[in-house]
Amino acid sequence: MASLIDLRRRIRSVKNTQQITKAMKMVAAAKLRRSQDRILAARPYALQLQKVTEHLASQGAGSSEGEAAHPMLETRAEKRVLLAVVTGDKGLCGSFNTNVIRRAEQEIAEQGAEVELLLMGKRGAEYFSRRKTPVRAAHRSLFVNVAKSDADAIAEDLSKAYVEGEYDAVYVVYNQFVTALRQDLTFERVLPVSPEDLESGDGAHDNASADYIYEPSAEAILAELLPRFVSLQVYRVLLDSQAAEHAARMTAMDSATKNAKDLIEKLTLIYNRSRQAAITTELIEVVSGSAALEG
Amino acid sequence: MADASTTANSASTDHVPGDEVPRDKLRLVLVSAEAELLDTLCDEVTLPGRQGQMGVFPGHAPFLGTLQPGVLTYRTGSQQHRVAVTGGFCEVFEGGIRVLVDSACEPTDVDAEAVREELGKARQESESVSSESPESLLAAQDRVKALEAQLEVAG
Repeated sequence: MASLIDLRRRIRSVKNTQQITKAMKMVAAAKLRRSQDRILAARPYALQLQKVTEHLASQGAGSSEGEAAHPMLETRAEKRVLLAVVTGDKGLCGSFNTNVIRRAEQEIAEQGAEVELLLMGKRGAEYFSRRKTPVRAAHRSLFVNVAKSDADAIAEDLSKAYVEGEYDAVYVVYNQFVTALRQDLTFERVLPVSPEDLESGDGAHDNASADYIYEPSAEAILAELLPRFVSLQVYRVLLDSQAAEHAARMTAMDSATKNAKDLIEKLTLIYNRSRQAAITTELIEVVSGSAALEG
Repeated sequence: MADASTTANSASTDHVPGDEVPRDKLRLVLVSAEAELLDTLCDEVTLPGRQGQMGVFPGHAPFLGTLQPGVLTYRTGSQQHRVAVTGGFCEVFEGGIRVLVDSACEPTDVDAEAVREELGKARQESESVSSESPESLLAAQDRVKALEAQLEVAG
């Protein structure tokens, strides 16, 4: 059995760990709230962009038969594929990073096409830098402060590479933020933009029948719209992943704090028991010693 | 802009049916990807369209167009407000106008010194790329225009 001093030391160290996990949980909760606010702040724009695209789609731009109206809508046979892997910059958030990495590995193995990687987040970047799958780019410090300009730069790079035929499709795997307790691992196609994506609204568009005047033309508007659509998607993925990371860390740290509490209780019980045992032994020794003297 | 937001449900971004907007007013909704910047009733909006300045009054026909970087002006009563915007879209619907921009700057946000310095750089850049592809030239010119608009708004 461990000595009393060892036990006391052990309890103290678990207590310290508990304090750290508790603090991390609270920090994650505060950061989660901020990320959620940013997701909400991005929603009006997404909604409005959706409405504009709906009008264009109802007008038949983008979903014309045969020839695609814009290179970013054009579907090609998938020979070379870019897979964007979105992880966090830090660990200690449960299975957040491992889930994404495992799914990415699975896709690499199962895709019939040549796969190249675009890594967002330090964890994934470090993992895949030691693997043999070629990497297009690795962004290691995106999540310090997710900015729209970062999303714009990434989206521009993706769109350009796609239009120039470097890749036949661009996919992304990331954790989608659902609630503070739930993150869904999501695998989505970013490029080519599918007309269904553009049209998928709630179906209740206000005045689809209205005849719109287009300036300069529906095609020109579509050409301006698609890059923004992709950029918004990247931005949304980044914000979602960030919120999901904080949520996952919050949950992980909460259970770590609980585990520490259980452990402390168990150790304290053992400590008290062995302390009591030591006292009893000592008493017996004293009593039997004096009894021996008297006898 | 708090004084101007007379719309009851300024938090909601859903389309307000025409009957909620007075016939002689325009509902102006200005959003960027990072935030909803403006949702207000006004009398007149002037936009920097890709094909030239464009004025919108209440009762305008449905319209969908692209914007270039420039100054968006809107008038409420006799008060003029100016916002520097970058490229984006505008959509005129019944009773209002939606403007989607990449970013927008109100007079109070502009740091004239910094903008002037950046403008100098951007101008040089736009001259040096002129021989290359038309897209990068357009991008460089847009940057210059966006910075000029910021200065105009601040000045």
